[in-house]
Amino acid sequence: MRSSIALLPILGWVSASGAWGAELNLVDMTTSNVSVPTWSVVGTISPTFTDNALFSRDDRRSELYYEPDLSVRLDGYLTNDLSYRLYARSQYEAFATEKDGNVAIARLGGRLTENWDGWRFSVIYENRYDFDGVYRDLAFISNDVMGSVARDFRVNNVTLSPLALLTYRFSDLAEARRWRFDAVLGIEVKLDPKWSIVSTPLFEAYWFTDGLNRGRQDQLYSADIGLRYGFTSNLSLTTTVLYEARTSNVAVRRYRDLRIGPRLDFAF
Amino acid sequence: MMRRVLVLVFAAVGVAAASAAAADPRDSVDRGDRLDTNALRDDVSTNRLRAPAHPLVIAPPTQPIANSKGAKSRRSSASGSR
Repeated sequence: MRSSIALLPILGWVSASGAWGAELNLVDMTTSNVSVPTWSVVGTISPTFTDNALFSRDDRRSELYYEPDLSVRLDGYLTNDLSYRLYARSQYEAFATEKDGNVAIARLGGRLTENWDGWRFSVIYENRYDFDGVYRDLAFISNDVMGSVARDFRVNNVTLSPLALLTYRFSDLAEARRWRFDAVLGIEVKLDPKWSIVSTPLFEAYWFTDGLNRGRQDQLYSADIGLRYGFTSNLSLTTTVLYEARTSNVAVRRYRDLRIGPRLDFAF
Repeated sequence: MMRRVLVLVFAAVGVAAASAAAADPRDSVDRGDRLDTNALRDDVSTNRLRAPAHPLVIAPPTQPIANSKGAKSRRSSASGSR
């Protein structure tokens, strides 16, 4: 029942204005300009092997899972340098046998991005619904307020896309309220027009502020490397090996995880 | 008979306790946070893609002929700024 209620604003949003997207502006939408709002559907499908399905410190279980991540977006420009995005995003993880690990999120959001001398400054608001299971039981509802700065650097066949992001999460679940800082470096080395080596090392820091998590501080370190083949400019396949480790001042929340798998990225 | 009832009661209490333990709200929060991290990585990949022009692009309002020169210069300055 609660999940049904949660879907109402989603449907309302879709029928009223209908638009969405993810969220972090690492590269401008090349199909947008000042006067033409553009719809797009972008997503990722990634069957993955993990050696720690429940991301547990002590109860490590190897498992296969499937994670589709799909967004519908409306992008446009308010001025030459100020762009907006409205989006809806659905994402879930479905494990082959460890059903306790299944999780889903529905997001509605909006973003404003100011281009300033090559730097992109964004403010983002996101209304989100976290579910236990694949849209089975609504776990909590949150409102995220984010600010980010990003830029691309291109040197010969190498593109570096650093991003810094700060988020505060308001939530009806006390344990979910927290600050979060992300530092991400997108790396792409073009080998030829079709093949690339890609990597996305990232660091995250969490400061939880309420409930059972009050005082908890986590840090997450992640490194990966992948080989990407671009079928077309809007469709690519990447095989990735990823290592992730979380430290925490709550010992039982520490974990490490190794993941291997292909991912298909698309934009239409 | 009484013994069977007691077994059933203890079994029910045990299942309820196990469910309560599994329902630690911090686990839901952690699962969601992991999806957020994955979403961030997904953004890096999908933002490298180039969405094709297609019929879903909303057509711009028709400009009167007299304004076409002004509209053209505005658009060229927009593309030049990127």
